Amino acid sequence: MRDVRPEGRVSRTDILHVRSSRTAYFMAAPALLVFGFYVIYPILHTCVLSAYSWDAAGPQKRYLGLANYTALAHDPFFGIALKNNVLFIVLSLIVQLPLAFLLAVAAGSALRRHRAIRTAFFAPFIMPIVAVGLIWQLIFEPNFGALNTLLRMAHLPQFAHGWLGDPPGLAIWSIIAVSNWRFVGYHMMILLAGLQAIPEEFYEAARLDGCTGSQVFRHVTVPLMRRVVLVDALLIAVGSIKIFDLVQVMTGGGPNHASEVLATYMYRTAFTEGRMGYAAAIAVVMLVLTLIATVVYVRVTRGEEVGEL
Amino acid sequence: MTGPHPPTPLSINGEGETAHGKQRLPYSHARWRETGRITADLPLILLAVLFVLPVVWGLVASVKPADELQFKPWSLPSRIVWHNYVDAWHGRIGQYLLNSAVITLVSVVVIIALSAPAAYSFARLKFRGSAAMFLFLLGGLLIPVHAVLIPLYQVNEALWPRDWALREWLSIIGPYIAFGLPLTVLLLRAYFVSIPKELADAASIDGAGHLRTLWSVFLPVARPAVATVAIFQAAWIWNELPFAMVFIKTPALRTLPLGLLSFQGEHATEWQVVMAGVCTSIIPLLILYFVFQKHIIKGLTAGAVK
Repeated sequence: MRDVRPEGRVSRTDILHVRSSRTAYFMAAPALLVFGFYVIYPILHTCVLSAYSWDAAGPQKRYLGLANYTALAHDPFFGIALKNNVLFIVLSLIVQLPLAFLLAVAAGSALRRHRAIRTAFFAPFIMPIVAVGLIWQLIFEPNFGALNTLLRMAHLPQFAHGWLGDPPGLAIWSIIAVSNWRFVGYHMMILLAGLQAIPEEFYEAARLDGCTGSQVFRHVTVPLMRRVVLVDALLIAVGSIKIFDLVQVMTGGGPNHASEVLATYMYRTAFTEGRMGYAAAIAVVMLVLTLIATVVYVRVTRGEEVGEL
Repeated sequence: MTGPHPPTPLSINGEGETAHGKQRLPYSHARWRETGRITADLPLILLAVLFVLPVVWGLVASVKPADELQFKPWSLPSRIVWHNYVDAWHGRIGQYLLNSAVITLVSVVVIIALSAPAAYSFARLKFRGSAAMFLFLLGGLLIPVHAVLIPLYQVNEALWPRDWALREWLSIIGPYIAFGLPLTVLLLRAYFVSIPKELADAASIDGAGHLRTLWSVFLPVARPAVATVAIFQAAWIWNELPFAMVFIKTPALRTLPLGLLSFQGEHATEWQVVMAGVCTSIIPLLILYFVFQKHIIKGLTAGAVK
């Protein structure tokens, strides 16, 4: 019964403090250990592995230093994958961010009234991504797929293509289009949540000062949305670096690596070809790209009231 | 019974947070404005229709006879072929649904069980190095899973005995839990910090230890935050593909995404059956969405808006 303990030389608050800090370690430890074991240790191990040549079939590893990375620099398929990821990032940013912002701002009030519209934009995001990939694979099917049939029905057969591989360079564009379709509603929701967090008084004050609609938008909405938009841009960039599922489902990186991205190339190199060390080097490149995106974000927002991401 | 105010738009569209306590306009005026707005919304409505069109097309394709899908992809089915769904079900879609449900449930429960004490510790106890530890955990928010696949492949080989029937599930549940921790701890901590200190102090005066306080005071109060983050993690795990592709080799143990993918391989020429499988996987999610819409939107966007 610590409540009835008389005050001694060691004050009660001291005892409580020691106890509570021990409890603090004890309560945080399980999460930290699991996280360290399944995330931090493997990341470090991946970095180490990237310096070795290691075939999955045998236990022996051979130290190569940076040779995996110099090989990557001369690997045409890696070049295609990197280029596709960059294309993914750029197109996702310039399509999704403005479109999502437009939907959230200009249509914010309308979306509020017609809940069905909001759901329509959000629907592609709540569907399982493999299901999305399969539906679009059928839509893009060259002979009886929905898109080509529609084009022929509209007497535009010259626009009918093998959207997922003929010509090979077209596949990645089709996949990016599907990705934009899937994620724009999600980003609309994020920006909408940001808009709704702006206190109504700000708008009223601006209107009382005689601001027009576009002035209110420029001087109230835009500055207050800056942080949410930047966080969202970071999410889009990192998501585009990590992109795997849609590509894997729709083309598997083909034809002949034309639609390969880093994640699918890494997966194929490691678990189909068994070149573990080389695949680890690709994973490290993905990690570094993610890091760069994060650093850019931190630098852009530095000095602002950032809170915790 | 005649109130001074017309029925508010709130009751029409079911939104609870549009009012901001503003004055309502007279009814006729409001209706006039409504009509004007619907016209202005027309491009938006068209775009929305365009957005759901691919899904609706897939839904129609799933009940078509095979030859109609081949030769008249845009026509409505001349007869509804429910048998496509029977074929899909025989292709083990039901099994995959169940597998994913079990894996998702177990992972989410463990994620919450590990995160809640950690979040409590970071929010209220502040031990030496706790700020650094917290940052360390946050670093995990953006990590691509591909950066851990190869070492985890080795870890799982060593960790789980080969003769355990469920070793493949254990192999993916571990990483699912670990990758779910950062955001969960972050969101729960933010919520715990906002809980008034007096509430926790009252519990400790009653002689409750920290775990007890967490269980009987903090978790009940933080129920909305727990629901939000649980939905986010469940959606992620339900959809996860790369870990499942690497660690699950036994057909009967496949998760839904993996199952759908292999299903397509097995029914390569029967697209109508593949579409039936796809729709079977979508329908439970759509039902859940319409029931828990508000929570789900909040849950899925929680990461970005804190």
